[in-house]
Amino acid sequence: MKTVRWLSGILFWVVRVCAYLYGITVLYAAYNLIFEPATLVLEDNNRFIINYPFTGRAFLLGWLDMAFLCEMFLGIGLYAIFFYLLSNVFKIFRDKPLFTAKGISHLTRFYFANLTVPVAVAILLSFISSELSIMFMIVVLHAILGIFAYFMTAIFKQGYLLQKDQELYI
Amino acid sequence: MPIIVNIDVMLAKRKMQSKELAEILDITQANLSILKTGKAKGIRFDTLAAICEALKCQPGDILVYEPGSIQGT
Repeated sequence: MKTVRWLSGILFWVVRVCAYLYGITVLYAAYNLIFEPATLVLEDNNRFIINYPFTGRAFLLGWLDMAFLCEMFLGIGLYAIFFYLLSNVFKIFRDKPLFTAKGISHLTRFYFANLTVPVAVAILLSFISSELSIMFMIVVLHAILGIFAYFMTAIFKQGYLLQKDQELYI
Repeated sequence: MPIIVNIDVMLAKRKMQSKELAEILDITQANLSILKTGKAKGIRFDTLAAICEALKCQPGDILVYEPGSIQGT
């Protein structure tokens, strides 16, 4: 269990940092497209380039097209939330005790988000985007992840009850 | 629960406080309270042995069977 705790501690921080980076990217992209600072370069063919701050190096490239912008913001923004929820799952395995009500709620949020959000986004984007095969793959992958998380939640609920019972054996 | 835990009676006989017994048993006062108030689901033999050693008594002195009873009433 010590190895699990150590590994989940590392994964918690790595994934949490990913979540923050994705979140910052969304905010930075939005800031550039709204306020058009010097880091935003607009090209003739409706393309935009967002550079890294204080540099001329390209960070994000895209088209000033509603479909593309929706996909970009939804994709990066929702993956920021996904990584945040995933980091909470790793946190469960890092902390003591293992089976807690808070841990169960983290798992519940994770499986619920994985089972519902990709489907909702795929339906929304199917009206404006043509990348249906990629969306379908993402929906399936997240559904598999959500199902595993659902099973883990059931195991944790049982474990929590057994742990509570065990605590009443003095 | 028809098993009644009479630790308070033995504590009074031995003029010992709950806090002192909890320290001897190396359990928290909260857990000792769970035992005394009948909320415990069970007691481990090593805990029972430690209680008997601390209070210089037999298990029968602290565990009483009263069919159809609920501890605390």
